[in-house]
Amino acid sequence: MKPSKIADALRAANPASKPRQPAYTGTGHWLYWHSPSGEMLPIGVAIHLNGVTYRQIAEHNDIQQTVAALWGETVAWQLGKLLDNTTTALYDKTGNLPEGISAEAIELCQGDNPAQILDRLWRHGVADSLLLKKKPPSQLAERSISGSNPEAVPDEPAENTRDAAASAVVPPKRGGHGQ
Amino acid sequence: MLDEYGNEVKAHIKAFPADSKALANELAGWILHRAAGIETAERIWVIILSNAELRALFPAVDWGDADDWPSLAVQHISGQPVSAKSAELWVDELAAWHSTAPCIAMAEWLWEIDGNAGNLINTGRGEFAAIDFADSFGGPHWTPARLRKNTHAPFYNKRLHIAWGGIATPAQRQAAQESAARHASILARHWRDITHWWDHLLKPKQIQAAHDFLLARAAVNWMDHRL
Repeated sequence: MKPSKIADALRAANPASKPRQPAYTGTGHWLYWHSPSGEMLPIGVAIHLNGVTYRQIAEHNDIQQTVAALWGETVAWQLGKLLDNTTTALYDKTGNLPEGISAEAIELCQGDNPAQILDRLWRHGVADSLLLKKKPPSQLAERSISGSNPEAVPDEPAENTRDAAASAVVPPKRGGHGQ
Repeated sequence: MLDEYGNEVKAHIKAFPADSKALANELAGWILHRAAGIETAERIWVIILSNAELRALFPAVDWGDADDWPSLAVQHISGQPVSAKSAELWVDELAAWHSTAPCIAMAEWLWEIDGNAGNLINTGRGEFAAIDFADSFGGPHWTPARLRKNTHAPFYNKRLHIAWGGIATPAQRQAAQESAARHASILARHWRDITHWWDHLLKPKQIQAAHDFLLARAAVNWMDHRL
C-alpha cells in the first residue's frame, strides 16, 4: 500500500488527529564551545528562515562564573571573546565561526514565528547546557536578528497555526497515550 | 514538536522505508512493553510527514514522490544508553533492575533481535528504559511464512546477553518464566490496541500471522524451553 494511502486511512481512523501547518519552515545550527577538558557544550542556536538568520547566544555574564569555576578566569575571559566573535560571524554571513566553536546542523525547524522557534530550540537544547542549566532562559541570552531581510522580523504568534512534526495523527481515545 | 494538546514535547522522529514493517513493529512493541510494565517512552505518536520534511530530515534516503509518509515520534527519555559507558558501571544495576526479567522475556516473545546496549537507556538510580522495537518479529521485513517457519526457532536474545551474560541462573530463569506467564493475557487485552493501527499498516494475512506467532510463543511453559 502506498504511504499516502496509509496516511489517509490513519487520519480517517483517528478523527482527533490535527493537521500542522507551520507558518515558518527552515534550517538551523546548534553552536558548541569546545571546552579545555574536551566537552562540546552548547552555547547557542541559529536558525535560517526565508533568508534571515536569527540567533540566540549565551550571555557571557551568565556563564562566566561557571566557566571560571571549572576552567579558570583566563578561559572564562577567552570564552567571552569567542562568544562575541561567534555573534559577529553569524551577523556577517561570509564570516567563519571562530576556532573553538563548532556548529551542528538542524535539518528542519518549524513554527508559528521565528521567535517561537528560537525559544523552543533554546529551551529544549541550549538551556540544558552545563553552563546554563540552572538559570531561566530569559535571563541568559542575547536575542538578535540578522540577515538580508530585516523587515521580516516576526509578528506575534498567529492563532491556530502549528508547529513542527506536521499533521500529527494522534490517538482517538486515549489522550496522551501515544498508540 | 507539539503534542495533541499543543504542548511542546521533546521527541525523536523515525521514518521507515515503504517496504518496511518497522512502524508496525514499533507500535506493537511499545504497546506490549507498556502493557507488561516495562519502562519505555512515556508516549509515542504516529505522525504524518510531508515529502519535503522527510527530505530535510533524512536527505540520504530516497523517499520517492509520496506526499505523506506515516512516521513515528518517540518521546525523549532522559538518560544515557548503557552502551555509552563501560559495562562495569551499569551491569550490576541492570542485573538488579526490577524489569530485567520481563524485558528479556519480552524480547524472547517478540523475537526482538536488536535489544542491544544502545537500546537500553540508563535513567539513573538503578532504573532503565527499553527503546527501539523496529526489529521485533525478527526484523522489519518479516513475512507470514517467515514467522511460521521461526515460531519456535532459537535466536540471539541480546538483552539476555547484556543483562545476564547470556545464561540465566535458575532464579533468573524462573523470573523470566513468571513474566512470560503474563504474555497471553497481555496479548488478549491489548491486541485491539495493536490492530487499531495495524489494520491500516498491514494486510489481514500478515496481521493474522503475527497474532498466531505471538499466541504460540505466549503458550503455557513456552518460555521454559527458551532461556
